[in-house]
Amino acid sequence: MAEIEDNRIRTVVNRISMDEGVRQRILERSNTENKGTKNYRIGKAALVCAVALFWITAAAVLHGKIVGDNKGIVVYASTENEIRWKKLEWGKKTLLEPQWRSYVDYIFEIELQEDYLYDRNHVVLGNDSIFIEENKIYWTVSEEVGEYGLPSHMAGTIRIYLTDDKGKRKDVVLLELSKEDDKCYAELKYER
Amino acid sequence: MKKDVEDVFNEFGNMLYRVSVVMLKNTHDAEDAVQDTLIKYIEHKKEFSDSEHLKAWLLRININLCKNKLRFYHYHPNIAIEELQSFYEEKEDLELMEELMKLPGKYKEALILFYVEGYKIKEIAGILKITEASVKKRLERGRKKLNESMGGKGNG
Repeated sequence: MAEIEDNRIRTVVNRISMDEGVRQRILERSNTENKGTKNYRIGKAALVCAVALFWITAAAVLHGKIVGDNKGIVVYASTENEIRWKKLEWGKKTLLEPQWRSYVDYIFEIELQEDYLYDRNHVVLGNDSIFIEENKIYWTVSEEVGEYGLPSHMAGTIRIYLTDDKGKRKDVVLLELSKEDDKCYAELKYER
Repeated sequence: MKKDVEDVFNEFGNMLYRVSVVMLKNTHDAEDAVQDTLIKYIEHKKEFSDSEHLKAWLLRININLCKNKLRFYHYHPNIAIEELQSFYEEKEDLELMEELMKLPGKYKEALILFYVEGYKIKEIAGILKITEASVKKRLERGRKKLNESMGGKGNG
């Protein structure tokens, strides 16, 4: 089989270009939408700040700890074969939906805001297989619960370390995976 | 001083559009992705050290916005062949673009950054926030898949 020459990929992709109409449309809409959203954002920002301040204070009182921003990380759980995704909410135990067209039962994707990298450890959860590759976590549940005398309720935690561009650890968040009978859950947590 | 959005668009607009078309497989969504990238730039407060820094930032934002669109719109759009035809005179070129678009996103983004934008593996790792080994793996697998898919179409 003949290989595609490297420069053919470049040539073919570079043929795509915007015509003048598209250029004008993008530029106009970018400027308009930015201006249009500014005033709305200021009013909305004040309301959001007030609500956020209330919740931050409440969280600090309840947990003895100030809960900060979302630490620059978002974790999604696949709800349908990596086509549909559900964003995990902080501190909320989420029931996971098994994948029906995949070799694994549950899939997570980690998304980081700019200027963050992450490092992570591995987790053992009974005889389950939990495999971390790049920004994806693949969890296959073992069916050997009774056979090996393993408990039907168990939990394990993946520590996700946020690092700067020099690899220095800046922060840590926890992804707790748990099993209760035949149901599986995930929860994103701050370290206490 | 931060560059004017129009200057940024003139310098990098076509690049962002190309990446978006390949990632999203149609020109309408690509327009939106470029527009959203420019809005992010307008909103971005920090200055960039040089043009290369700005280019890498725009690419990262643009690729992430394309991924978000694919994720949140809950669909994987089909390739709009009639939209693509206007760019190509040769049938073989159109076929190669179609096959490139069919690749999983993670391979496409690595191939574009490496072969089209000329980034080094280390630079791509920085833009995509993955390891250099992963970039190499994606390039190798992406090329292999592309060669396999084009193999039956009389390529070369």
